[in-house]
Amino acid sequence: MNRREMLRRTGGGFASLGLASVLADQGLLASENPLLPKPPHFQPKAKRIIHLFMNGGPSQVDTFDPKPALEKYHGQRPPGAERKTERQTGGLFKSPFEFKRSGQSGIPVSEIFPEVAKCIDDICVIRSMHTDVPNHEPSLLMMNSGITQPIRPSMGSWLCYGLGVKNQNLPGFVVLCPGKPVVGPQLWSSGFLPGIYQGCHIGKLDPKKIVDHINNKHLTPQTQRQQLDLINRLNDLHSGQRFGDDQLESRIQSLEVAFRMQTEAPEAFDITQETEATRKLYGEGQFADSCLAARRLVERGVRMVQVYYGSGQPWDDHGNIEKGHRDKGQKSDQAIAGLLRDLKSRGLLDDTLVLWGGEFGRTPVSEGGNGRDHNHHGFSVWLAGGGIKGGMTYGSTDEFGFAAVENKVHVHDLHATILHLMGLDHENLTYRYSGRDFRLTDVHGQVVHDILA
Amino acid sequence: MRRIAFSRFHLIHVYQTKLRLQIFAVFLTSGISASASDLDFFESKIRPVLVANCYECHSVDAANRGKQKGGLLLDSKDGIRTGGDTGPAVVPGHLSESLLLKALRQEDLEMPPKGKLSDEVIADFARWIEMGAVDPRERSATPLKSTAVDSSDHWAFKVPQKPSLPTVIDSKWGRSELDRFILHQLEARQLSPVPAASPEVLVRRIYFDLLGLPPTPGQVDEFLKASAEDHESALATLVDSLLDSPHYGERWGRHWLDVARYAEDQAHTFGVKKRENAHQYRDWVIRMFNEDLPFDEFIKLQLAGDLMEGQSDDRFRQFSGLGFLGLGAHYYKNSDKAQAEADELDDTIDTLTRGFMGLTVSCARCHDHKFDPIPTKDYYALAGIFNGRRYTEIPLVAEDAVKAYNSEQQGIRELESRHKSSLKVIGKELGRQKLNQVSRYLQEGWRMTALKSQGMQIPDEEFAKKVGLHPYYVRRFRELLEESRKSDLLKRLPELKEWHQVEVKFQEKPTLETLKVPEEIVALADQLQLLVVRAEKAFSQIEVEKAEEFAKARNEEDRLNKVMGKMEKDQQRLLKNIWFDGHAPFFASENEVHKNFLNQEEKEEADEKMAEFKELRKNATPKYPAAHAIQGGGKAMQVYIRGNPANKGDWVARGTLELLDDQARPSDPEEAKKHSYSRLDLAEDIASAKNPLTARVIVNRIWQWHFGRGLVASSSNFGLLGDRPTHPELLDWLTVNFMENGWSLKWLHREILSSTTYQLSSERHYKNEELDADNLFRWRFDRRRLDVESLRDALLAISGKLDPTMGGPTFDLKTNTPRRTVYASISRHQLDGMLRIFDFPDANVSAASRTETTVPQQQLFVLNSDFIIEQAKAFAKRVTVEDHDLSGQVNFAYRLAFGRLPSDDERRLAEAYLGKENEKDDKLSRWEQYCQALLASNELMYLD
Repeated sequence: MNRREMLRRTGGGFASLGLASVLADQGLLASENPLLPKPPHFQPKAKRIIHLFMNGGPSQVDTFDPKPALEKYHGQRPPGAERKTERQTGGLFKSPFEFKRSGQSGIPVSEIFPEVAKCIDDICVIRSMHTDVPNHEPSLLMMNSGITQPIRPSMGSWLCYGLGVKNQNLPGFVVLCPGKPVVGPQLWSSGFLPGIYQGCHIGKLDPKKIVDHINNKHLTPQTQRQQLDLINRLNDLHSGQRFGDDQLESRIQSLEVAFRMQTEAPEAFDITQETEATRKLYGEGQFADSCLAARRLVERGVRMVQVYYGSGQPWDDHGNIEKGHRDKGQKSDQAIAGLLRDLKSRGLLDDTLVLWGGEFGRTPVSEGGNGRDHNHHGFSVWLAGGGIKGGMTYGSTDEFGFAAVENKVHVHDLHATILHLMGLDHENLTYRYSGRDFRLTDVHGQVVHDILA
Repeated sequence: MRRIAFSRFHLIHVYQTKLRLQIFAVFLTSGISASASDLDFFESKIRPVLVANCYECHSVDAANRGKQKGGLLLDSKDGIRTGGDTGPAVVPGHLSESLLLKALRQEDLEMPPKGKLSDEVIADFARWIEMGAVDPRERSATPLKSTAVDSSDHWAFKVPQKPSLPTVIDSKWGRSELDRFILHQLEARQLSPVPAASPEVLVRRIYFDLLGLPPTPGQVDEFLKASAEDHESALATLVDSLLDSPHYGERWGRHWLDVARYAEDQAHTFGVKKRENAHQYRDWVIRMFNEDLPFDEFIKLQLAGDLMEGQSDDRFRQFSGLGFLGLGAHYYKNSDKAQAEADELDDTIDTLTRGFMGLTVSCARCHDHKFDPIPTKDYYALAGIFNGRRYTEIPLVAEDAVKAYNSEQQGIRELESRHKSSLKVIGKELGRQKLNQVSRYLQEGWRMTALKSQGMQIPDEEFAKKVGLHPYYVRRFRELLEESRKSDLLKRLPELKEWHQVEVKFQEKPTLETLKVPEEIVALADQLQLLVVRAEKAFSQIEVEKAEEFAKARNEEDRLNKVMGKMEKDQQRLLKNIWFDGHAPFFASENEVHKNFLNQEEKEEADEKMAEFKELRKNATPKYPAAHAIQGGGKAMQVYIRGNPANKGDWVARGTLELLDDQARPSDPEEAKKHSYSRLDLAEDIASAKNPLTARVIVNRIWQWHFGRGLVASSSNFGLLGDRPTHPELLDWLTVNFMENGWSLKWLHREILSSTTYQLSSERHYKNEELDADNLFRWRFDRRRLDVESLRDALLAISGKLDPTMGGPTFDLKTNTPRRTVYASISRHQLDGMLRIFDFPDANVSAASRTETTVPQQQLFVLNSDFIIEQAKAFAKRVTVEDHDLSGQVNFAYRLAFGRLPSDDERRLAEAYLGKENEKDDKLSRWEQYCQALLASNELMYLD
C-alpha cells in the first residue's frame, strides 16, 4: 500500500482526524497538504466564524446585561463584592447608559449600540459566561485556546486542523489586529499542531503585506512566470529520474499555488473593490475596514477570522467607563451591525457564525469612582448566524451582574458549542501529542444545546 | 436530546424491575435496621434522581466506559460515602459536609452540569442525608473493570541483552554486522535491497547528514578521486574527517536542542525577560557533541552538573549544560501562582522523561498513567526532586572576577544614588518648609476643585500665581482633593473624612474672585494644620533627642527615614501622607525637584552628573558570562488530586519511577517527607546501564536523525502505546555495543554510516513497494527534504556568503545575518516566520521529531523573500566573475548548487533562459533569475 492508497483508505470519517496526527508523527503524511478540506464529524450548521474580539473586557452591565438594582443601591457595597478581582473596588456603580428594549424580541441593549440593537433578533446574548481568573493574559489565552498557559493551539488552529481550508490560495485562519493585543502571537498559535495551522496575523490592511513574502518586488509578472516555467522544467528533469515520488510532485503543485496566491490573496484583502453602498454600510475607521475585510475573507473560504477591536487592551476601562465605553461603542456599532446586515443580505449569515465578546467582563462595583475592574465571575458574549437561535438571551447573572448564576456557561462550554456548530465533536477532535490525546476543551465542555436553532 | 428521551423511557422500566429485585435482596441478605419508610424514601425520591442525573458520569458503568468524572461513584453506598477527588459526597447526618448537597445547591461545585434540579428535589436530598442517608445499594450493578496495567512483558522495560547475529541467505550482501539484522528482516519479508547509491549521491548525503552543509566542488572532487581508488577507505576517511569538523556539533547539537526545547524567551509577555545567556547552553551542547562527551555524562551534566564532584575547573563545561533545566518554562504567576508553579514543574518532568527515557510521565500528573505502569505517585516522586527550585544564573568566570564586576557596578550605583539622594533630600526639605501652610493649600485646593466642578478650569500655574502659592504644590493638592480619588483620601487622611460631604449650592456661577471657602472646609483644614504642626514638632524633637544615634546614618536621606521610624504611629501616618511618601502632596521626587525647583545652573550641573554615570556604565567591564540553571528545590510533595494544587492527597517520597526501582519508597508521611533523593541521584539512575530505556532511547534517536525515522517510530514514547521497534534485536545490539563503547555517539555514527544499509540509493522498487510502501524495513534510503537549518545554510554556502563563525549571542533571522541558522534566536513567544513555515518545532515543548509539510508559504519564501534574492544575487555574481564562457559558468553553478555537472537538457535550458533579453522593469538580471531558479528547485531541497 503506498501513501496515497493509505490515505484514501483511511481518509474520511472522524477516525481519520485523530489518525492523521499519528500518521504525521510517523512521517507517513510527509508530502500531503495538511490544509486540504476534511470532512466534519457531522453535518455542520456553520462553515466559518468571524470572532469580533473586544479585547480588554467590555462591561456586561453597560452593554447587554442591564441591572436596575444598581440604580437603587448605587454607592453601596453589597455582599459578594468581596469576590476576588484584580484590584480594589468601591460601591455599586449604576450604568451611565440607558437600555432600550429592541426588536421583536424586546431584548434590552445599551444606548452605546443603537445599530446592533436593531439586529438583536438575529442575536443570542449569553449573559452567564464565566472564566477562571481576573487577569488579561490568562483570560485571553483561555478564550483563544482553552487554557491559561500559553502552550496550546488556538481555536482557529484547531478548526483548520479539524476541517482543513476551502481556499488553498488563502490562509485558513486570519487575525486582524492593528498592532497586537496583550500576550500577542500565542493567542493565534498552533501550539503542538503543525505550524501551518497558525493564525496569520495582519496588522495593517495593506494588500501587499498580508502574507509573508506575498509581494514580488523584483520581477514583472511575465518574467516571474518565465522563471517559474524554468523551475518547472528543471523539476521535471529532476523528477524524470525519480519517477513517481509524491513529495516532489506536491512541491511542484505547491509552487503553482504560491504563484497564484500572489494575485488572489491581496485581492481578498482589498476592500477598495467594494461598492460605495457596502462601504457605507460598515462606516469608517480601522475596525469597520477590518469587519469588511473579514467578510471578504470568509466569503473566499477562510475558516476563521478574528477581528480584534484594537491594539493592547482597549476595552479595559478601569476609569471613566462612560467616556471609554461610549467611544468604543461609537467606533464599532455601525461596523458590527453592517457586518451582520451584509452577511444576511448575501445569504452568508445562515452558515457564518459571528461571535462578539471580550476575555472577561467588568465589576458592577466601581473602581476609582467611575471605572470598573476586571470580572471573570460573570460576563456577556453574543452569537449570531450559523445555527444560532436569534432574539434570545441565555443564562443570567445575579441581581447586580457580578457573577453568573443561572445556566452558567464556561469558556470551555462556549468552545464546545462553537465546535459543535462547525460540525465537530469537541471530545473527538483530538491530537496525539506527548503520549496523550489533547483537545481544545481539555477534559471540560458541555454543548449549550438551548441556544441552537 | 436523543439520549435523554431514550434514557427516561428506559430508566423507568429498568428502575421498576431493579427496585423489586433489590428491595427483595436487601431484606434477604442484611439485617439492616433501616425502617421500610426510610428505604421507601430512598427508592422513590433519591435513587431515581441519581440514576437519571448522575450515573452517566458517576457510576461503575461510566468508569468501565472511560467516562467517569471526578473519581466519583454514586451508584453504591460505599461510593457515595467515600466520595471522589474532593472528598465524601455524603456524610450521613451532616449537611454541611456533604459535597453532594453543595453541588446540587450549586455552591462552588455545580451539578448536574445540565442545570440545577428543582428546589423540592434538593430538599429531598437534604432530608435524606439528615435522616442518615439510608442506602441499600451495597454494591454497583456491574463489577469495576481492573485498570491495573500489565506491563511485565513490555519489551522496553527489560534491560537490553546483546542478541546473537541473525542468519542470512545472501551472505555476500552487507559489509557490517548491522547489515545482517537488516538483511535478515528483508529476506524474511521477500524484500530485496536496491543497489548502492553512487559516490556523487553519497558524498552529498553524508555532508548534509553530518554537517548540515553541502560539499564544495573541491570536496566532491577529492572524494570522487579517492573513491575511484578505494571506495571503502575513501568513505571511512570522509566520515572521520567530517566527525572531526566543528560543524558536526552545529548540526547534531541542533538535533538535541529540539528535544531540550531550547529557546531564549517565554511564551507570554508580562514580567518575563529574555534570558541573555541562553546561548551558553546551545554552545555547550555543540561543544559536547564535538568532543564526543560520553552520553551518560552528557545527561548527568544537564541534570546535576552543579552537584557533581571531581569536575575540572572548566566552569563552562560543568555548569552550562544546566540550561536544560534553567531554560525551562516560566509562567505568569499573578493570577494562580500554585497552578503556574505546578505547570512549570510539569514542563521539567515532561521534557526530562520523554527526552531521556522515552516515557510520557506527564500523563500521570492527574491520574495513574492509562497505559504505562506509572502511578500518579511516581509523578510527584519526580516532581518533588524539583519542587521549590528557583531559576538562577551561575557565573562562568572565577569568583574574583564576579566580585570585581560587582564592586565596580556597586561603586557606580552608589555614586548615582548619592547624587539622587541629595536631590531627594532637597525635595524633603522643601516640603518640610511648607508644612505650616497645609491649611492654605487645602483651602485653595478646595476652591480649585469646586471651580472645576462648575466648569471653570483654571490652569495650575495661573491659579498659583493669582493666590501666591507654588504651582507644583497647588497641582499636588488639587489632585489629592479630586472627587475621583476620594477613596485614597479617606484611607490616608481620615481626618478629612467629611471633606467631600460638604455640599455647597451655588446661586450663580462662581469665579475665582467670588468663590468663598465654606466654614466647614476651613474648619477641617485648620484642624489638620494643627495636627501637622504638632507632628512636625514631635519630629524635630526626636531629631534633637536622638541626634547621636542618627549620626550613624549613611546619609541625610537615611537619617530622615530613621527619624521617621521613631515617630508615634498616628503622627507618623499623618506626616507620611502629607509630606514624606511618594503620594503625599508635599512630596517631590528627584525628578520633580529637578523639574520644578532647580535653577538653570543647578539643572545643568545635575545633568552633567547623570551623563557622567552613564559614561561610567558604558566603560565598565562588561557583565561576565553565566549559565542558566536552577537552584534549591527538593521538597517532597503531596499528590495533587486530579492535578489540582489546591486539592492535596498523600505525601510521596522523592525518588525515581517504580518501574525502574524495585525498592519501595517509604509510604509513611513523615518518612516520606524526610526521604532523601537528589537531582544527582536521579541523574545517575537515568544515565545508568541498568536503566532499560535511556541508552535505547538515544540510540534510536540517532538512528532517526540519520534515516528520518527511528527503529521505534515514536522516539519519545517507548511506553505501551508507543510503536513497537521494527528491528528489536538490532536496537538492542546497537544499544549494548553503544554502552560497551563508552556511550560514544561518534562510535554510533561510524557504525551506521559505514553500513551498506545507510549507503543504499533512494530509487524505487515496485515489488518492494507492494510489500513495504513505507520502507519500514529499509530496503532503500528515503529521499528527504532538507530541514530549515540545512536549507538556509546551504543557500548561504552556495552563494558564498556563509559566515562560519561559531558560538556567541544569537542573531535575529530577519536581519539576514549570514551565520549558520543554529545561532539564530529561537523564540517561544513568536517563532521566526521562516522557521515556522518550514516546520521548525514549537520550542515550548520537547520535540521528538519534525513534522514535514509542503505548503505554498514555503514556496513564496523561495520566490520572493529578501533572503533568497540576496543569495541569488551573490550566487550569480560568484558564478559569473569566474573567467569562463557561458557553458563553464553554468557548469560552475551546477557544481556549487548540486555537486555535479549539468546534463545536455539542463545546459540547453540554461542557454535558452540566459540568452533572452530582460524586460525593462525587471530588477534582477537574467543570471540572477536563473540562479534563483536553481536555488528554488527540487534538487536543492530534496536529498537523495
